[in-house]
Amino acid sequence: MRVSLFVTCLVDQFCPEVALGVVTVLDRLGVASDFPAGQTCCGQPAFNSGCVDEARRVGRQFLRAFRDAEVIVAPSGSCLEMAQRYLPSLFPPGSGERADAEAIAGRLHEFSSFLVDVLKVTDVGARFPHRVTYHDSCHLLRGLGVREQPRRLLAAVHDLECVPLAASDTCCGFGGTFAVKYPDISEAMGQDKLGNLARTGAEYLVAGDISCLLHLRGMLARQAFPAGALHLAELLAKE
Amino acid sequence: MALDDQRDLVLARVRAALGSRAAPAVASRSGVTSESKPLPIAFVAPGAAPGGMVASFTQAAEEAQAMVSVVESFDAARQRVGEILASEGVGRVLVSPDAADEPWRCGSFARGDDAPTITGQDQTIDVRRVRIARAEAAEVGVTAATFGLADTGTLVLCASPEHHRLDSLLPPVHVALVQACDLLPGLPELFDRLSAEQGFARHSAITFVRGPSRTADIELTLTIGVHGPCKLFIVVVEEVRRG
Amino acid sequence: MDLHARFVADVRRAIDNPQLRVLLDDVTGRFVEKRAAAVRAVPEWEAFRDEARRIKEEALAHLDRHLLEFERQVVARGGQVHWAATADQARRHVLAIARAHGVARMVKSKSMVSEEVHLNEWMAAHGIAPVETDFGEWIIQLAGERPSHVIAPAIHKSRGDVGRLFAEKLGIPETDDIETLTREARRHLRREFCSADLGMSGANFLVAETGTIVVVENEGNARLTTTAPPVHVVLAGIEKVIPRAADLAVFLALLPRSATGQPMSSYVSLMTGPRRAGETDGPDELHVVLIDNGRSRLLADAAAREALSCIRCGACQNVCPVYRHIGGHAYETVYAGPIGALVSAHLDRAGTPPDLPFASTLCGACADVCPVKIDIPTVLLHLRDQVMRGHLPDQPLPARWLQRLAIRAWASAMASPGRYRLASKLLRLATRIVVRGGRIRALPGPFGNWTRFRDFPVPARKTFHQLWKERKEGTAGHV
Repeated sequence: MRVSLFVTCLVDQFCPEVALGVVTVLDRLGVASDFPAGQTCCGQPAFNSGCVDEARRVGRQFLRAFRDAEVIVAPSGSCLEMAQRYLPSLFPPGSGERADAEAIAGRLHEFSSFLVDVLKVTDVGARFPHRVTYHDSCHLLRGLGVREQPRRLLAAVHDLECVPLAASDTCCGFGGTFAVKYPDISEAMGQDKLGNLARTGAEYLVAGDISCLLHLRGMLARQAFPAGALHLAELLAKE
Repeated sequence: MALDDQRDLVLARVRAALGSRAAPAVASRSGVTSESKPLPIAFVAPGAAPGGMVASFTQAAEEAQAMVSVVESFDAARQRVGEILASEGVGRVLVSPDAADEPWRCGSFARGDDAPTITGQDQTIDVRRVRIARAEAAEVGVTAATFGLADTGTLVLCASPEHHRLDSLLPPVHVALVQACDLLPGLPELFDRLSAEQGFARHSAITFVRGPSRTADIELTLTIGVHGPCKLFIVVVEEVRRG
Repeated sequence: MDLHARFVADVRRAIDNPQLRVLLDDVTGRFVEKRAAAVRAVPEWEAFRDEARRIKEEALAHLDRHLLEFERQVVARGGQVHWAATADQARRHVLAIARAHGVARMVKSKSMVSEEVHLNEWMAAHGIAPVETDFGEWIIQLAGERPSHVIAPAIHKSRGDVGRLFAEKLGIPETDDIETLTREARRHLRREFCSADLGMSGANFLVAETGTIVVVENEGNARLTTTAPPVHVVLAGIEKVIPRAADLAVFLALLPRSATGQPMSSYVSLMTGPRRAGETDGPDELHVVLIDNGRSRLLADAAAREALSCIRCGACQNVCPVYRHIGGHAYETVYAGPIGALVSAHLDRAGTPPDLPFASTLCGACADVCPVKIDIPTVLLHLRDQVMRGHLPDQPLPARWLQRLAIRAWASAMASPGRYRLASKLLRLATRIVVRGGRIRALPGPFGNWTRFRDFPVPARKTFHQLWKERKEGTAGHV
């Protein structure tokens, strides 16, 4: 099996180490990976703004990039939900593009689900001697139904202490353009999340979506908070 | 009349709205469509619980702050009603004909009200005004219940010439009488019965009653007794006799 | 002030109000717990939801047929049905009925649609002021305020607030004892019930098969409103129709549990026509006013139609993180929270902030708890598309055009790998200008909304595209 990486635009631009983490873990497990260089974005920012035509345009490039991929893995819940659930609907029923999109949708996997449900592994040889807590990003949890897989992977990390986060399934307040359109609410929701983080005494908050993490990291930096925020793939790459 | 025209307008708009063929682009996450077959719903059958439906009904009703007594015979039921009225220390008791007639025969408990019995056919007085005044003045209303639902401890009252709606509503205390054989497992069984007996055609009001009235509108603090009765007593009789 | 600006100001005011936050947190939190406990006790909960969704789809798919059957049955039982395409027509129907019966005093039980059509003000202006009888609705009527939560409309008022209100408006000694305040409501409203000439109710469900009107409540005020006065008027949106009486078994299992965590509410009234010959109690006349007021518009929008399935339980409000932070009043609409964001633009185009479909993170918590499985996030996305196409009101210019332009430019960059690479370079150039000490703490213009309280992430020196290329070409120092 050869895994094609769908790294997502935010990871590509801001946190390539997340994608490097995915590659490192797959390497460790003896899974070959490649990176379709034509990939840019899944189109979600346009789609979420109600600009369906623009989303379709970007979506076409996504189809071009991944048309020949056999297995596609992404370290993201929100981009994956976009590509699986909404992307096909951007193209007319019966069209070739729709068929392509549906075919690709069937080959897409979120990273933690890929490890646990497809590769059937939970111990990926990671070691991280710290206390962490896990935040359920909305699209991963409710969009894709991925709840146990990240927790099982964390439980298998050597020397890791993972404590539960209160209201772990409550939205962090990012929400795409919501973060800049309604900053008051976005901030208040983020503060709630950080407050719950503080109560765990964890050194790191871990999540499966870089979007949540950029929002929370941004707030953490402002508050001289003692904790950091890590992507699951970064953590699992540590030895 | 100008006001009548809107019937055709509303119907035309609805039909036009339904006529549009456009299907939603994205399938709803629910995965359910109107073409899906109805799923059989297995209600928890309280009859299976220890003690059967009477026990289930009693427990569920008590959870809703009703005070439930289970007695063996109609004589014992009558006695129990007397005890309840004595303990409430009341002077004015209203008894609905369905509780006064067979098999309950609780008419002798009616007191504090000298006006003659009213029937719905009475044309000579303002029935409504008298009925409201009478029920408002009463301290206890005693009525029968047509059914009980064992899963939620709910009584089902059916308005009729013998069952007066205000008797279970205006007085601050309601005493309800129900036969164990009229307890049903739950809503599906109730609607089956009502359908078979044309309940909706026969009764202008079928009222479910579960516990006394309540509100939590201030600070979500539960308070028992708002506009409806403040206390609900239920007497369940195990003896089988049709009224 | 335009609706968008007012919404933004309302949001700011709500967020800056710590007492509101504490109250909302407490109230919604308790509703959420109660609902969760009730749902846990029903193993077949998901099957119920599926069935409810199916029934509602069937009801809406043949709405005209069901409405006609409902009308036929109501008339067969001695009731009357009036149809109103608009809010204004609905009000006129009610006034006409009231005038025909020389109504001077009128009581009302809870009806969201009556607020939608602004019935109370209209009737008061014509000399018949309806008295609200639901405890929470009565409180806010006395206070001259709007409801803040669909199930508990006065929940924004503390016991002290209510005590002061009653002292002022009713002349009773000031107290914050809830039992005393409740007894006062009972005492005061008794007089109204017993002397009213007309009682108006809403309807939770209208049963087509039997012509039955169903009202679910806990206080007994709806029973009194619909039993004591000689005339009963029902105000109901056309979407309340369900096909069969037996369907109620599903909805009555879902509604009280979703709304308040009860397995059954204290009272459910199933009313079919006025009182029968021989019955002593009950109204002499029953009138049902069926209201469209924009529902047919929602019905016509196939991708938004499922919003009409709503059974007004309030569960979506209680889990919505946006609602939990800003409360019901900030929406400035009759229906707030997630369902409010779906229906308000169609039911009240002129009064709805264009923000509502966008003021959501699409977290999906609402869809999880909706008893009739309305896929709220997907409908919100559809409504955003409708706004961008100009079918629904949008923010005022120039914001609208600027946002459109930005998305277009962005999409152009994302649609081609070459332009994407160029855009990456431009991003790095642009952010170099704003980086200070390795951080981006301030961004200009609308992007400043990000940096008000968050750092903006500094783009990585090399994108993953570049790192991968270097790795493949063996030019990477370390990966």
